[in-house]
Amino acid sequence: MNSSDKKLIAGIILFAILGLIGNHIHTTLQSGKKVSTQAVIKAEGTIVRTIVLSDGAAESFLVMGKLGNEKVEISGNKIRIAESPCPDQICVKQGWISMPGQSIICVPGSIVIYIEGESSVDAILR
Amino acid sequence: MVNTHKLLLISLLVTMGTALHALEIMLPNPLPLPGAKLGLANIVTLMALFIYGPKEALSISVLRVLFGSLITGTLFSVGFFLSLAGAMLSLAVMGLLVRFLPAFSVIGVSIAGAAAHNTGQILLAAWLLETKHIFYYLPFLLLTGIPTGFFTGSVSSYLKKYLAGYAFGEEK
Repeated sequence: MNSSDKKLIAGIILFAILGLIGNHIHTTLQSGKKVSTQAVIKAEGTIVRTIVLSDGAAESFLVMGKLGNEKVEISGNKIRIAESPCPDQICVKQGWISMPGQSIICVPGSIVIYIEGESSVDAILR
Repeated sequence: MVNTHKLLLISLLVTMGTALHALEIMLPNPLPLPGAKLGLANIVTLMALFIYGPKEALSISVLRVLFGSLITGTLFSVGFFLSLAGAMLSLAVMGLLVRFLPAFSVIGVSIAGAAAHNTGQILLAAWLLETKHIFYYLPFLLLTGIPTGFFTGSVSSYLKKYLAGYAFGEEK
């Protein structure tokens, strides 16, 4: 390892830190405008369901992805993928998410769940 | 006239790359990060790049992704295309570094390759899954790419020293 390598590593770390800051700002901005949070579920590129997350909500249902059905579970403000037919199970390991800007992505099953903070302006426009 | 030595060495590199690629898919990923992995097959790509050049390295990495996916049954799945995209972008970046920026050691080239691999995967995943949310994982992947790139780079660096008097010498 020489000095050029170290500069490269420093550059990558710097870029990653900028990205992390960006992520943080994105999450904060999303929750700043929140009136209520909703989870959007996309399967193979199309939105299959949008659910408002509120206290006391409890539900589990199946979403059809590329590899078959994936079990999505909602408990209060949180949502997760409980069961998935994908080989690596990364989506299941990602666990519960509840903050706007967070997401669960199952790459092999082509299923994306993300949470957005619905602002009152958006609600009116919709 | 077929260069038997070259043919043999390329075949060996494809075989080793395929085995490492298959092994890698079978290894469980302990992190809740899509796309995080060791990048063992990159050792072979690096060797190909140093022994021959970008053209041979390209054929070797395309073949190993193809054969590796065939063995593990992931051919033409989302993961296969992500592997391919990652391998291509990482090869492009490593090839350019080796060619135009010789200041970097094998380890530096390997780390740059790891970062390019992750970026390529995320870009294609964002396009295939039609979601920009996957970019959230990029900083984490880049950070994991530093130790894994360091590891594969160190292995390649030893291998290069060992092969220097053997593969490179015979070639001339």
